[in-house]
Amino acid sequence: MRKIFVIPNKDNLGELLSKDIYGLLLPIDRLACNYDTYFTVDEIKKILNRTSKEIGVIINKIMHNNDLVYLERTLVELNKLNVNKILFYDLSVMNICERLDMKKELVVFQDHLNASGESNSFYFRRGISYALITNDITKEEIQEISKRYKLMLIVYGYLPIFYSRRYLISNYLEYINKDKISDLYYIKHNDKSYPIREESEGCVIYTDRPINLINEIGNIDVDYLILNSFNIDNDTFFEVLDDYINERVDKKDNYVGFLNEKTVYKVEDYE
Amino acid sequence: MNKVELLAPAGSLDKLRIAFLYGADACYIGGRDYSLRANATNFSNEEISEAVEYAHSLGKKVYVTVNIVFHNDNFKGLVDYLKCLSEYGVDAIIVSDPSIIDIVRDNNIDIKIHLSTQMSTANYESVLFWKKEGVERVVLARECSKENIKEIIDKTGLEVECFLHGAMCSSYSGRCVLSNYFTKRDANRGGCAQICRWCFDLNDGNNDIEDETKFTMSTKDLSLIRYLADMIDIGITSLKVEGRMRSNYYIATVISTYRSAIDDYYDNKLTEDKIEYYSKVLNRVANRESTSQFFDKFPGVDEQYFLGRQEVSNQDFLGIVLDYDQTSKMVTLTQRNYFKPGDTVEMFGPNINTFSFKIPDIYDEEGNKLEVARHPKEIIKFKLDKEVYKDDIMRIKVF
Repeated sequence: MRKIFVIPNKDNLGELLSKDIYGLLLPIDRLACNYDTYFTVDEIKKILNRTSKEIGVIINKIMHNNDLVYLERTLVELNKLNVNKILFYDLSVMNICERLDMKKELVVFQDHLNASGESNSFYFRRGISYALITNDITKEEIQEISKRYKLMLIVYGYLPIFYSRRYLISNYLEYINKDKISDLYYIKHNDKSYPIREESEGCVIYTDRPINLINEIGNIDVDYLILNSFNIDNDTFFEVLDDYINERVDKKDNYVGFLNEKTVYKVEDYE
Repeated sequence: MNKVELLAPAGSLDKLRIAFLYGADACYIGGRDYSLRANATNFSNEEISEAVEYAHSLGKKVYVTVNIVFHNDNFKGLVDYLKCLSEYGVDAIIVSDPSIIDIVRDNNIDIKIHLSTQMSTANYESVLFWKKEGVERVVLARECSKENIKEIIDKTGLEVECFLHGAMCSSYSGRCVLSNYFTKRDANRGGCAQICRWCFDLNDGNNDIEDETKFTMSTKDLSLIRYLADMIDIGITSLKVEGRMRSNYYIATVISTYRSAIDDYYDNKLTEDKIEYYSKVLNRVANRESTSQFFDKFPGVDEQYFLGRQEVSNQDFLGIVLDYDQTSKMVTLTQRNYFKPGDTVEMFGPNINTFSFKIPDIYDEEGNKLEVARHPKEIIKFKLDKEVYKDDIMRIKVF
């Protein structure tokens, strides 16, 4: 059976702990981005006390110098806990983990940069345990890479497709002299609505709908499947999660991103 | 004392020649493959070789971007290409995909590696990671402040390259794939369709925000002319101008302006008046407003574009000198924009001090007198007492 990880929110955490999933990936407070729920070290400790499932901690923001002291302190704390995996974007995390001689499994977690066997080779040669493979490539490409490397793949959820340090919603509303009433808005284009969320680390834009690879996953040999519950109501999310747990193809025409279609490298190749 | 490097973009051999002529210390260029700006003309291998030979003859450098995020089928031919770049004597390659580091090492290719801004490196621990990997220079994220940059330099001792001037991404580089999901063009392989400059309706979950000004992620451009001295003082190795797709006139104007400002700095002549003048020249050639962005503060509403954004097509560039006859004192130039006798214009170039004059009688190539020069690329002649040189540029006098 595939190993299923879920990125939870605080509303579904309790129910998730009772589900037959392999583990949870917890975005950590002040050092992660792209999610709507972040967990402090104390909250992670409490979750660890409630479950024997694997716990990975997501540390995926772009670090600036003034994040580094807190980052290192947090990594020292995590090293003392029964956390299994550290999932990182910024190479500062890898550098500090190496210096601290951390015993946790390191996972390179760069949503749009890890797109080839060779880029995986770079990180695996330097001791990482797993890699998130991007959703921007086809299943044939993923399949080829998965023959050589232990991969994680996001199979369900909204994909972050833009991450700015700027407070784009606040700036706009300030410009037009209107109040910000929420952290979550939508930008509209051609009858599609793309969630845009403003948080302390900046602004994130997501795909207009969640991807769902349930009907394709039988053809992809990745070790870990990730389901992200961001912006999904609980009923829908648990229904989908059960499909994955039971390996139940859902017969729907799901959105699969670029799984069956290459992105365009050069426009002249496309025209 | 090592002078800071002025690094110019060059989308073609001609632009590279202009950039060097007008004062760049180094140029960054892209090959036909493996480079962001996938839809630009870019350089053939022969042109890269020629560019390097030309640069080295002037004591200058050429860096080649190999900065796409590679997919499996993009590696074909890469090793041979990197070996060619090494043989040509390219001074460094600029990479974002770390796999290139291993490919260079595993194949014993003798070439320096600079890390692209696509990796959004903004802290000293990351820089130390890349230093251990043998990277010789890191192009820092545009989101870095002056204090951030200084601390990175102080704590790593690695060469640091920072953006000085040009367009800004709204996103952290490498973390935007809007083009992929809006147009299928691969942003991290050079297909950016600039979705961040589009306008959108913003919805709060229930209703559209009603306003004539639409939502956009668009940012103003970057210009750090007012912080040039700070950038040099904190020890930045290379100051980078963005814009491999920009025109010869833009390159000439921006590079010559920063060349003058940098030289003024080292000669202790960079006065407030000069900075004001340089700033006006740079603003005039730009098609968007510019600000200092993250360098001196956290950018807010004033660093973005909303309604009222105007991308002006610049008409200042009047012509480029082809020849000057010292005996007859006749200038021959190719026209770029409308001008006529009586207009006040100015000449600038790498070997002259900028000067203004009134356009005298003008003639076509056959010596026929003209009332106006209105045809782009038309050959125009007129008499000018001051000597000018090939590739000097004539522009409208605005200041």
